[in-house]
Amino acid sequence: MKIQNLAIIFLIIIIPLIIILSYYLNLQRKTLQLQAEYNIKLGEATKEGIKAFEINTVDWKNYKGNARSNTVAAINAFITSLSNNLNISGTAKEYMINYIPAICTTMYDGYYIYAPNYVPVNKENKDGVQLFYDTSTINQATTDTENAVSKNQILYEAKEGEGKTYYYKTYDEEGNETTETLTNLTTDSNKAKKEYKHILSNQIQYSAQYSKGDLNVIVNYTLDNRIYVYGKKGEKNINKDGYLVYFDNDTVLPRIRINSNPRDESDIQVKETIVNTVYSKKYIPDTPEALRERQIKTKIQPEVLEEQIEYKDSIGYKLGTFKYIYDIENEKLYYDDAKSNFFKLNDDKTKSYLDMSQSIKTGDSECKYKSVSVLLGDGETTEYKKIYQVLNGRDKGKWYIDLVENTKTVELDTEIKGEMLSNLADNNFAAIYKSFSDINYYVEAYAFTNWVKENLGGRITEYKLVYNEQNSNYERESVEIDNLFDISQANNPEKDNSQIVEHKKEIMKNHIITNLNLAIKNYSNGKYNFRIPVLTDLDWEQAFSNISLITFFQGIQIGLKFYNNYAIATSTTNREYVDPGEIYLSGEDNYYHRVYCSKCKNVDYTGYRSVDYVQKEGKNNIYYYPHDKSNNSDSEIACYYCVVNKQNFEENSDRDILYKQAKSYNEALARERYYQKEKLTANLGINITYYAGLTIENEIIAIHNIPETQTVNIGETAIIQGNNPTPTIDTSNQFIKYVFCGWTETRGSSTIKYLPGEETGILTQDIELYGVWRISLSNLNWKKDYYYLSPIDMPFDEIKSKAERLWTYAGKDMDGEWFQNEWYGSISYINIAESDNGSKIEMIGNSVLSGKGAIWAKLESEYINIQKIEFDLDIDQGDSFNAGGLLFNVTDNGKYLKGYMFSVNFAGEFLEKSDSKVGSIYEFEYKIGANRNNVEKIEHICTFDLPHYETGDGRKGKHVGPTNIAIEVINTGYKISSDSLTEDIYIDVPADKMNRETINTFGFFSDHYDHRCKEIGYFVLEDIRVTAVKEI
Amino acid sequence: MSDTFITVIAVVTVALVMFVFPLMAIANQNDDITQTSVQTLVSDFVNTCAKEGKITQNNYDNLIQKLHATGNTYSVELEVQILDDNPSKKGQNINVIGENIYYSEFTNTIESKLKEDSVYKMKQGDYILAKVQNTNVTFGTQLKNFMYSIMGKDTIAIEASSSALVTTTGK
Repeated sequence: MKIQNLAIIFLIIIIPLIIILSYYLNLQRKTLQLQAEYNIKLGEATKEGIKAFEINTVDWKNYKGNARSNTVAAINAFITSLSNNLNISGTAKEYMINYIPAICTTMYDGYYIYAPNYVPVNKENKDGVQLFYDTSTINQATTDTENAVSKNQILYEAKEGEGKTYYYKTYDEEGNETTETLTNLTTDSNKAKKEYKHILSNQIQYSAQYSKGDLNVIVNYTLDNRIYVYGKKGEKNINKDGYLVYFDNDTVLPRIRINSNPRDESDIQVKETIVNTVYSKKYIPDTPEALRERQIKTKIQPEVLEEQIEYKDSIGYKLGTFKYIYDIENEKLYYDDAKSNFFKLNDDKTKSYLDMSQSIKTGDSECKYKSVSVLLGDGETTEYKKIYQVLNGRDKGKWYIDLVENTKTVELDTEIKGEMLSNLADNNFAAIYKSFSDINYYVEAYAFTNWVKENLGGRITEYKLVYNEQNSNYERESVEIDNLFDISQANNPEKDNSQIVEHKKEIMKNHIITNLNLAIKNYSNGKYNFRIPVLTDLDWEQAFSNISLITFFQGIQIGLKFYNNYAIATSTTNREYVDPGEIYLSGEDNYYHRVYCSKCKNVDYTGYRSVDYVQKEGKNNIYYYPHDKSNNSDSEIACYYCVVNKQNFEENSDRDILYKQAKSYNEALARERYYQKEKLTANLGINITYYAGLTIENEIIAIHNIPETQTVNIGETAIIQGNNPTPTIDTSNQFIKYVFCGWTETRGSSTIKYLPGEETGILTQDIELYGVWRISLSNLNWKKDYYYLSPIDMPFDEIKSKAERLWTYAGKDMDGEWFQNEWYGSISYINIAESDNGSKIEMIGNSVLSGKGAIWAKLESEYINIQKIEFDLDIDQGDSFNAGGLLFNVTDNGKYLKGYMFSVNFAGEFLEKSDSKVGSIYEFEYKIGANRNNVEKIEHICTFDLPHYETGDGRKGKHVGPTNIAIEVINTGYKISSDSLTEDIYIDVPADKMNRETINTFGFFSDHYDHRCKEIGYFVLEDIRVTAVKEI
Repeated sequence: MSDTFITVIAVVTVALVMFVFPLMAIANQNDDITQTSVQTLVSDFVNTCAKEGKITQNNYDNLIQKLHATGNTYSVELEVQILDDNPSKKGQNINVIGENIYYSEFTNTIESKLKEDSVYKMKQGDYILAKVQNTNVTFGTQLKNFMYSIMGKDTIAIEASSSALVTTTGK
């Protein structure tokens, strides 16, 4: 064959091969190019996503939503950025999301996964608004969710043939109402068409389950050394959280001991003061060399924190530097030295000062507090107590503690003052603007760490879900772990290579991987099976170093293969996580530094988070830095040797400077990590609470002047309130008037314990006092039956003075006619007067003739019945009385009074039937209008003696009393009691006579004999108290 | 005589067409592929450093190794532009923003710090740039030089550069 022919054959064979090979190589090259391009775009988009998160948490903090909405914003920013980078816009963006199988955001205490879920297809109207089934109308669809009669149900697009037709009222472009027919819809999600839709999950915690003995708990981990523990120990619920911190034996923390059943601050012993707090860390490998050789014991002291803020006053917007603290509700309060008061900065930059009025006292809702934590008990205690300082109001500056823990929430009950206060903290308590958050962190971390060691130390069992390849299912597996929560130098939760941190990272990583796999396991777009790529250990290291966004982008065809890659972007500047490496130190130095910088001066620094050194934008084009003081040049610029260029960092070698740096750093990190949010109440000293004793109802229309709760110190006496002003009651019944008597300790009782103005004994516990009220007798509708020879309408005092005058003329001759004319007849002239202690009734006896007299009244109320009648008895017989006393259980038929009488007997039938005893109970009949007669009928019931004496000095008769009598209504009748009686007397009354009418009718009587002399009897019943109870 | 001459011409032509031009094409393709993979390597290196906030000795060595694995020698130029926002902080009530400046550190400084500490830390806001050029003469270039001497020798065939904004402060 000719060589030319050979050459041609060779060419025919080789050229196609070369062409194909070239094409293949070209395709490979383009694939590589595209891959590199997509890698860059994916990385850029992920960075923009995390940047959006930072902007929301740092710059727009005042307007930000919660972590979930910030995450949604970050994800949206990522998707938008990726679409723009790929030159995809408009509706095509929604198709691009099909190539994003998952996005994971690792937060401080959990993570979110944004992944496709197989969900029912919702039915929307033409505006994209979700439609609901209005259950009040058949087959009516609506967009209204708030005003529906009953709960509306979501409408979905149904699968073929499984739906119904609904009607939707809408408006066309001209505004006319039209009805749209919507076919094949359903409210049952099982019958609905399904589609894959990207949804952000709820936050999933980095959790693991452990058990030890009867303890069964879930532990939620976070990015730093804080954990949350909740579960059960036996039957008891557990819900605790705190920081795990390694403390060695040289650590000194404030500590107190409290006696059992404590009453006041003398039951507190200070074992270690706040002043001596020391945090000791030894032999930490990555600390500067100079420190490594010595034990680092840094004092932890309260801090003075300052910040430059923009605020608005009457002139305009200004910058100013103020001290600040966080109160117990985690509110930031700035301190104005000029006004010696704290203020909050409002959204519009105006200041809201705390209310300093004296009416605000500890425990009121307007009161603000800050707190200091101290350990409670000895040794490796798991308990701590908080001591609170009041920041405003009457008690500003005072310190209190909840000593007697008798409620679930904190209730301050004891003030700490004087010597006890200085034992605790010397002068550190003097400046109200000092922050104790750093000390609180160490104290609470110590107690919590000990609790964890005590309950979860040693061997524990961990339960986890493991994927079984054979069953293609997740199964529960248990693993024994030793000493995971035994915090020690070797197992330090703040060191990356410790057992607990390694375990935690493993948990977090596996948790995320499991959920990511679950999320996209069944997701397929028909051409490509999505799988999570394997992230390297370095990637996980970075993801857990701070808030991170992990994005996955797969399934797009690039040349010869499908693109499959991921990107991680980590945030450094955010407020969600306190990065230990991002603390800058400010002090009397032009520069602010990182800790241990070789260029630090030998001055005291205060540490703040690096995110606080970001420029802020104010109004009127003012830009400022929070830690750049406006009045000097301290901390104005970043150090070039540690902040601007981190690579230039060199460690300081001066030990004094290193010590100060370590102190400032430890204080700052502790303070930034510390968080508290609680509310409290106060119950200081002894409370004397006053109650009216009666309620506003029925006839009672208003109750006035019931004193406010009175507070006194434990172990002191108190003056009972109720004077000036005296409590009063308004009623709608002119005959029913209440008069305040005093206070009783038993609700419903009429036994007075305290009178207003009276001093109590030493008080050791709270008391409740109820008002005791009596019915005003002078307002009752009294009926009177007495007779004069000639009617006299004379004021009682005049009659009394006449009687007394007559008495002074005893034995002497007087103007007989006057005497005879004016004083014939039986006088039972009664005067009723009110006094502080009760009503007073005075009766004047007759002058000549025998006879009787009475007054009586009925308690005219539909709602109350007489419960008790009490009075003090003091009767002078004179030379006129047969008897006198009280009528009770009275029936008035217009002609006769019948009932029972408490009689003080002096003469006549009254004395005879009582066997000459002074006191009797008679059942009586009294004819009305027959005053010349004595009491028509008396039947003896019982007799008793009362204190009495012969009057002598020329006066005839006896004097009975003074003594007190109480007649009380009981079920079977009445009970008579008195200090003068050795035992109570019970009067049985037939049931038909114990009715409303008889119980509520009572009165007074006197019965006289014919004496024709000037010895006029006169008796007084004083302190008459008629107490009434509500009819049931 | 003329037959022999034509035969010689034909053989030379055939040799050129069948061997030299395909070889040149393939060598160029090879250079293109190498260019793409070097670009990818440099981009990956820069993005990794920007993501981590630091240049580690490990990453840098990997880059060099992978570059050499393409069969060529390269010169690698690194630059870190360090953000300095101090100029915007001086004085009060600054009314103009964006006065930050960047100053650069270059390959020698970075490499010496890598030798000392095995890591070069950057902070959020800095920029990292990398530029790689081949220093040897690739086979494709050799062939090109052989064929097109007018194009000059030692033409750089492979050059890749990439830059990225550092988003995390290195630890």
